Amino acid sequence: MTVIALVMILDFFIGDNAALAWIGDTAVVTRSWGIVISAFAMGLGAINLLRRHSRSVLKRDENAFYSFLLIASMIVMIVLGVAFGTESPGYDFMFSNILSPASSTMYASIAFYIVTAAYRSFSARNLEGWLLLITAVIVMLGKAPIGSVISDFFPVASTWIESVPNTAGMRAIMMGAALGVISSAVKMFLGLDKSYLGQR
Amino acid sequence: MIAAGKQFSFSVLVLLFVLFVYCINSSRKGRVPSIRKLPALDAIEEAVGRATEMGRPVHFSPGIVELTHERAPQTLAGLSILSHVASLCAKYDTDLITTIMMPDVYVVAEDVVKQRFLAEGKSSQYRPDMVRFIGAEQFAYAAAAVGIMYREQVAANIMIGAWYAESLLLTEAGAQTGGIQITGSATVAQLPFLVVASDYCLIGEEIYAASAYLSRDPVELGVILGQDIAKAVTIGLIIAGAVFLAFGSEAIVNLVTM
Repeated sequence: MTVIALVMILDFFIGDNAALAWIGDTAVVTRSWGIVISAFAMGLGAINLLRRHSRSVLKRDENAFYSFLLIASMIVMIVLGVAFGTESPGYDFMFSNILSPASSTMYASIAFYIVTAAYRSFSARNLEGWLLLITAVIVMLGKAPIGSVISDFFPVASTWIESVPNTAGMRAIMMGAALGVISSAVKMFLGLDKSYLGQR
Repeated sequence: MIAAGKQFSFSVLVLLFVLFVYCINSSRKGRVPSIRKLPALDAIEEAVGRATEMGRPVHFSPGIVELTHERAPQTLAGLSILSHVASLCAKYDTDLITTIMMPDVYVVAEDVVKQRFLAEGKSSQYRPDMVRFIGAEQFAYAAAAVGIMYREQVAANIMIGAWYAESLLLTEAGAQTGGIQITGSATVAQLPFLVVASDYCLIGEEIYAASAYLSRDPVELGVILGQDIAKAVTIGLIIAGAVFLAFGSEAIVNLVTM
């Protein structure tokens, strides 16, 4: 793992150098291995899904119908994709008329979840709660057309909040996280941390 | 040899490596740094304990990006915490449901949970459906994970990793089941959702400190010290850059873009 990590790091930093072209070539091969391993992992994932849901169908438990639906959809999509290709009208129909609208529906429901989360969170019980509530009201009024009708203060304050304190906070978190990534990489590079593999 | 525009970055990486190795050695010699309390990590045991008392499962998710993604370190941090959660679940005989979106993460997560149950001497308690692959489609995963949380009435929802728009769907489902929610991410755009919707939230670098915090391993704590020194130097560089620019000098800007 250390050797592979070293190759990938050097591949990022080394410029055009014919003598060191092998590093770039090795990195390309390594990435290809990653794709192959992912493809096998997808197969294992599909087996996990089939095993769990076929057990549910065979036991005829209360969610057996949904498990059956999942297995049937999976088989239909695999057959259409493998036999006729992902550009075929049948595959395209299933994708555009079932999967895509279902995904859009889930995405759209976030708006309602935002309202319930906001209702719970914007309770002004302490100083932080008050700050969050006041900031949210200013930003919301700054973004909504009614804000500028009430006062020119809201759009200006909203833009300032987003571009100054918000950006500063976000950049601080990003820089801290970047250092965290490097420290984690060093621990893995030196073999000091294997907890992500379930080892201590 | 090093490409133009990357020389400063490469030098910093080498210096950081040397700093971390120095801090590790210093820690090994007995100068073990202390680490501040992270309530979110302390709350994991409480959450698993509560699930045990209620006889309900714990839900865990290590985020939705694959191991080859640029945000994969967050997934690895999530898997690290999964290792701790799986140990606790094995110890307390608590049901664990780990939902996974990406296939390569599924393979690793399954191994992590299996290994921890084995290490706790509870291999007979491990079931393959403790780690569930859902499917590599963002909102299909969200719909399935939300459904599992409602149907199986999870008593604790722990989500540590990289998130996108589905983060609020999952945390709101967790909130509505009434369980303890512990979340964490370094994906800045999703942090506001996680902070408002969960009981405890690990912000940014805290997820990477989890392994050191939970293990209290002197070597890992040494790396955290190195990280803090690097952070102080970065802050100094930012202040110096602002002062230099205010006086019309671009020396620091030229240095970091070298």
